[in-house]
Amino acid sequence: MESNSGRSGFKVPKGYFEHLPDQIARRAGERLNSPGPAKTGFQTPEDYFETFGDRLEKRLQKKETPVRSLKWAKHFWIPAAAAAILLLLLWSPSSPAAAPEFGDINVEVLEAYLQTEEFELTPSELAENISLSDLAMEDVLDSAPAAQQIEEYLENNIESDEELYWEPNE
Amino acid sequence: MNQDAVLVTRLKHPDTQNQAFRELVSVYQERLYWHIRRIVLTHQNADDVLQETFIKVFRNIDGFKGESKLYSWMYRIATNEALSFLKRNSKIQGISGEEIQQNQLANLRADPYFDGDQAEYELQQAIAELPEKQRLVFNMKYFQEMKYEEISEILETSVGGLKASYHLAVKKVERHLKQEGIETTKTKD
Repeated sequence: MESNSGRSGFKVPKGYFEHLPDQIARRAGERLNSPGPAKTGFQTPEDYFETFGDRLEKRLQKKETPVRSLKWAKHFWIPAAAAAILLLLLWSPSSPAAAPEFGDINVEVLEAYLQTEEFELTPSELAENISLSDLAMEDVLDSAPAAQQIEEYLENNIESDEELYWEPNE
Repeated sequence: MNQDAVLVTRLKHPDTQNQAFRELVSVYQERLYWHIRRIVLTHQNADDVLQETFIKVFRNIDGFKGESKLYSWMYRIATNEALSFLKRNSKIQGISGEEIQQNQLANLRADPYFDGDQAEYELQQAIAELPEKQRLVFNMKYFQEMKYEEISEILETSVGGLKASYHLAVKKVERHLKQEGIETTKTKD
């Protein structure tokens, strides 16, 4: 402990004022970058944030200047010729392909396609396009759901929680 | 002109944009990293998404009109990038959003940059079971201590809706932890 120059008798630890700016800066940094009030167990590699800027800059430069291989241009005629031959074979008037009919479609393939592709239709838009009169409850449900199941479904699936809390007078 | 406005002006000017971008990265990298990490969970994925986020910011800064705060705009990009990353993965693997969350959790166990104990892992498990919106709100409110007004600007949702989401999320997290026999201190509403 070193003696304070004042006459009050108060003292500060040795080197306190020399290290104070660093300490404040460190604590301010901790506060600014704190992951939150709870311990989470998440960590990052050593020096990750110190080196992030440089790595990002390199990646940015790489993306900005795409280099096209000259080999590609040199051998372009090979895939081009293959594509032209394929096109001629498929387009030949001597082998007209039979027009596909609706019955040819594999239902499972169609269902898988409908499930995996994004049509950017909201549930409301889908509902608008399928008439209720065309649907029976049995088409969509195996059994009638209990009130609790409906409540859980709404909690977990509804787009906006505000809709769960609407006021009848609004 | 506030600091953000000055930074944005410098980012838009070819002579100053490189230096300004370095400053922007230095100021926001950690905050955005932790926001992204809580969505995608593993360090490797968080690193990928963080880089994509900054690249998008750099490329789209000319389109930033200053109608929202700079950090809100960046958080919005980071959130969208992280969610798109998960959706892309779920599509590539042909599995649902819920399954991808469970896969992320399984990967978290093997992540060398996660050393959480069982309670911390269960907390992540509880969060992963939440619907997307509630998961985001819970992370931003509970871990990042953001104000509802700030979250509202980032997620473009009303404060009332966010309060409802957070309330539901807290109840579900508490229920999950209780089932696992983990004591919880009262989470602030």
